[in-house]
Amino acid sequence: MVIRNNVKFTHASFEYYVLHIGLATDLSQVESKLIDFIGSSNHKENIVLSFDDDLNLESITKIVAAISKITIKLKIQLHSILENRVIHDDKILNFPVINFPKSSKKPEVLFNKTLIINEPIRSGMRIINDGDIVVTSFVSNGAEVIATGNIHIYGELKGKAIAGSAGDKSAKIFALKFTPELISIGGIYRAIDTKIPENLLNNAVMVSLDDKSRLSIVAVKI
Amino acid sequence: MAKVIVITSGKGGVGKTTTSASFASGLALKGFKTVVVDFDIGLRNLDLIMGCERRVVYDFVNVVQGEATLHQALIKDKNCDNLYILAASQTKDKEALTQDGVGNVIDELSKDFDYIVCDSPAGIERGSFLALYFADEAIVVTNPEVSSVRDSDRILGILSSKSKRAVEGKSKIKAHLLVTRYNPERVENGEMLSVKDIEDILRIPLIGVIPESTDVLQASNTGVPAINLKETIVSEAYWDVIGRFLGEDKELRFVNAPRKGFFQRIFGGGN
Repeated sequence: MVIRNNVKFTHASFEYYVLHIGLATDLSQVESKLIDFIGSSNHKENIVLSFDDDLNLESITKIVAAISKITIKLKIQLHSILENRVIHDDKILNFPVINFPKSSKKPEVLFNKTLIINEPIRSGMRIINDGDIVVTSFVSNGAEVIATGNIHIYGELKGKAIAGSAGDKSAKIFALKFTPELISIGGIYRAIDTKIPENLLNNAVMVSLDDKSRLSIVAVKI
Repeated sequence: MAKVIVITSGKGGVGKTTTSASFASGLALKGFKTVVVDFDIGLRNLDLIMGCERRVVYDFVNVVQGEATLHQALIKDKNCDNLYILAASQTKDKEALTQDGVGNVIDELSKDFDYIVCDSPAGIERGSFLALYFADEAIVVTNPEVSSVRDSDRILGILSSKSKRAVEGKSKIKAHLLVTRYNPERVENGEMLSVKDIEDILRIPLIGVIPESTDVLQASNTGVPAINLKETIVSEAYWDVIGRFLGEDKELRFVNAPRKGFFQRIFGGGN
């Protein structure tokens, strides 16, 4: 039995519950696991499957087929599949595939150093780096910058910035102009749907986590 | 070697096809041998705007699939000898286009033409992807409202990351911003985004502003590209775009609301 505890991770403004499945998973236990889940949660539509790397794509497809039958029976919806071996936006049995570094393991492509981007990050683009990210241009609405380290934006941050994506609570986000949709550090996120205060609008901004794990946004005086 | 220009936007109904028809006609009337290609397979419209819908025998998909030669499918424009139209298919869907097939057609067209204007469908699926993939330059058509600007931003991202030039690491696609359906009075009243707002968000050079006008609808209905409607502001605005595209220095027009005269202000007429 290799079903791990449900890992909860936050991404964008939704919470997803990840069901991790290994080589020796007994599918009948998946059903009981999901029944437990329905009892404990009201996020019934945000179930995500992730698989051990020792499972090949053929068996993953078979497991997805079996689990989708269970979810239909239980009237819950399978949201997507986390799988770094399949191209992003592709599908396994009509379920969308998301590439997202698994927090328990290092992602396959390692930069582990600062990624510097000299062009605008436009809507729909997603930049992921294991390390810091520096953007010398702006980040549009609907774009995402995801770093395991810090994020520095030498322009306007209008999209989403997710720093410390593997759980580093000391990561920080810096932006010269700050009107983001969402900010997150070490899994703590906040969707910004209210007006940004005047003192933050006219200054460079630093986002960090305080000692009570709350997001603090302060103006950086230059 | 022809220059490939894609007219794109992401969002539908912003004026891509109107712009494609006028832009291609303008280049052709300036003496350049131009072909305009409709990539909106299944929802073909360009032939209507160009007024040649009854002359479509073979289309783009027939050529891509090898059922007709390019020579058979190209339709010569009724007003201009330099202009040809390659119509889309009305019966097939967008999956009928393949990257290699489209590439071959573009290569073949490149031998004979100065400019290849690709009229992209809305969306970011296969049809619009193939329309922009081979482009050297792009005209991003945007309406002065937030959803259109957002979609244009998305398309600019795709142009800079997924186009042939981006994939092969060549110099970037040159993107131009064209704002259409612009109504200066509504901008002054704060109901529409201003040109400056749009430029601030997208940060690409502006190639023109086409004012909102009822003439465009009339042009579409009669199958005449808007640029050919003599003495209308839309036609003037499109000629300015052509001028700027060819490197002329043209002052921006039609972006300010006309000042009301003394009597109009007193009696409130003129709206």
